[in-house]
Amino acid sequence: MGTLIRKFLVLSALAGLSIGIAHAQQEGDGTEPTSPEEVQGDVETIKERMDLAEGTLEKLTQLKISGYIQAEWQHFDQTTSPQGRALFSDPRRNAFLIRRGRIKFQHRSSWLTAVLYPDISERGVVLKEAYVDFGLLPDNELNITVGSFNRPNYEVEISSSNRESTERAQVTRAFYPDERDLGLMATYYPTIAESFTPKLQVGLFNGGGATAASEVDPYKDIIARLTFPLPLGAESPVQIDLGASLYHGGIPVATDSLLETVDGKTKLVFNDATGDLRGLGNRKNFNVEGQIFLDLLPIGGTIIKGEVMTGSRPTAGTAATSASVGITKGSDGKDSIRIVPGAAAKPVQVRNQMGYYGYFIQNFGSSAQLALKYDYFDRNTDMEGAQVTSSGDVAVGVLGFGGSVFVGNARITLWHEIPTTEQDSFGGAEDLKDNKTTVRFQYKF
Amino acid sequence: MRKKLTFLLTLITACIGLYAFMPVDVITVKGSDTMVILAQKWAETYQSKNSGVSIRVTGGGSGTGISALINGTTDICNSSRPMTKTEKQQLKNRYGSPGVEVRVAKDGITIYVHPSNGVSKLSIGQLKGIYMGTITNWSQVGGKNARIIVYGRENSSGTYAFFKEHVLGGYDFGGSVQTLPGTAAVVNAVAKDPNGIGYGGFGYAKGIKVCQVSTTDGGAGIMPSDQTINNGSYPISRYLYIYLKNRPTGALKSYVDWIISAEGQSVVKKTGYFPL
Repeated sequence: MGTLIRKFLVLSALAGLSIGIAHAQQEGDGTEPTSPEEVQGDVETIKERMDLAEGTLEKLTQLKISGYIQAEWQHFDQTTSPQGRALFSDPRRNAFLIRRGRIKFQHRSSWLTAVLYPDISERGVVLKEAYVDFGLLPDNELNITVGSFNRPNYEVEISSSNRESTERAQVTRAFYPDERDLGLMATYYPTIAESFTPKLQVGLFNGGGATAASEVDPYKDIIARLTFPLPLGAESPVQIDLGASLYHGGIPVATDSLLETVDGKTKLVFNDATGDLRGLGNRKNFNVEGQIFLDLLPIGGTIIKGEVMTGSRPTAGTAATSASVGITKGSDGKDSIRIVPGAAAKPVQVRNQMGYYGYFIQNFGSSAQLALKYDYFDRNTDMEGAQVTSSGDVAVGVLGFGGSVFVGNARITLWHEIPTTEQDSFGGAEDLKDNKTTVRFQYKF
Repeated sequence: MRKKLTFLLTLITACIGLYAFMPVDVITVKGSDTMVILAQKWAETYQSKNSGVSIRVTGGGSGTGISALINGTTDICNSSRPMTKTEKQQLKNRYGSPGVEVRVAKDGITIYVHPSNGVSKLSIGQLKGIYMGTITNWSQVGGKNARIIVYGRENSSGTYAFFKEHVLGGYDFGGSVQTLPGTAAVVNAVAKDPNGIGYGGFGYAKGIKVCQVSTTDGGAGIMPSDQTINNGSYPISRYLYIYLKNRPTGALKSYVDWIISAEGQSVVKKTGYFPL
């Protein structure tokens, strides 16, 4: 944009100068000739105007505007998506929609960068990111980020405009809802050797996600992530990145009800009812990730990548049953939690969960790409088979495959997903009629 | 179900395969303004001997070229600075390769002053002071009593980034630096301004005086030349690079091989840069 404005200004100035000179020459044909001093004065005036315009342009070049639009058509196998797995809850077999309409305003001034990043679609306008980044050392070696921004996670940090599949894995969406959160993060990214650049991110977040109501409580969630490339050499056609991350946090449960799974059944628990805080719904997970990049085939690069996440999340639970009433003893034989009769209206349920995803991607030059993805998410690892009685406890694997073609700024993606549900007493079957096909057109600027 | 799946898979593969393997005879080159003249000379010379290949060269700065490479809108990126680790990571995530870096020439960042300027030598420390705004008068570096008018490049320029890292030690430029869109504009401004100073590629050094550079304040001044740049004694010399997304094949590989061949390197010398 800066270059275009600059060209326009230069052309305008040249045009102005030409007209001025032509005008001076015409005047010269009349009564009195234009002196060289007058022409010089005109040139100086134009130069001053150019300097002024340059000053304004200098400020404009600090502002960078980028973004992308994803318009798509989705087709579902049936009108309602079983167990709420569809992207949208309203029943429809197929629909056109603006999946994402992103515009990023980035202003860079010296060592500071500020970003405003709304998402605009037919569903409204949502502010996705708003943060300030302080570059404390050159070459992004140490940065502090404050505001609403991506949590540190591989699949979260990959922009949806660059991701090979249309959506992130189920477990990523569950463990990192909204992808972004409000908080503060330090990133240390030193260059130890040319091909060895480990990255450490440590952040403190509210925990609820960027678009959730703020969690005004003393409990902040801590996320730490360390990634590093194996030092195989910059020239090596095989590059391997590995990483691990830890999420430790929670949300206070102020209601009388906190549900957990004990012996395959949902049970009502809570701490001693002496204060407002009745318990802490743990948000905890540990992730291991890896990416292998292979530049071995003449047709293009190959990527194999994946991540395993295991932990727990508090979610809205179902009403407690009478079976949950009683005393549960801990492994040491003592009463570690007290069970009371009478469930509260809005219980919170903490579930132990586990999920993973894996991608296989083959590029064909820079113009096309094929991808295969499998992701699995067990929403409650303490229940299986007939014990599963709610959609919040079911395990689902999704096989996705498709491809993209890239034409200049445009990308066209065809993606098909086949979810497979674990056998359960909630109505799950091996393969319900819930496949989804997406045709997406993306324009990035 | 299985039939539908097979049909879908076949359809996706066929469409993408057909598109990906369409013959390409146009090579796009984008990036460093410092290298534009060199890249155009390479393209002209190569096309004159290989009529089936069309090469389109544009500038915009190293940063712009690298962004274009990551976004897939150019085949070759010219860069007067190495790619950063973040840029390599972005390339790796998109194409499965951190990119292929090819050193194609050497250059000395040349300090331009007006031909009438009495100052012929500046140290790295003095240059740092001038560009950070702590030295503002030519008399502070042995010249006349006149305000120093400082010209530089935009932050999308690789020369800007290299100068910032190797002369300013990573610190920011001062507020008085007037940024110009290309090296030619910097040379032009200095040629017309008796109190001006600028920096840029050696290949553009015409109509101005080239200033010697020393590593220390009292040290010997060194002019950029074939010898001083090749033996590393010129303090602010650098490599010029081209970057590709993956290991090149076909017409792209032939072109890159030609650039680093003796014939391609002779173009480097003719254009005023320094061959490998």
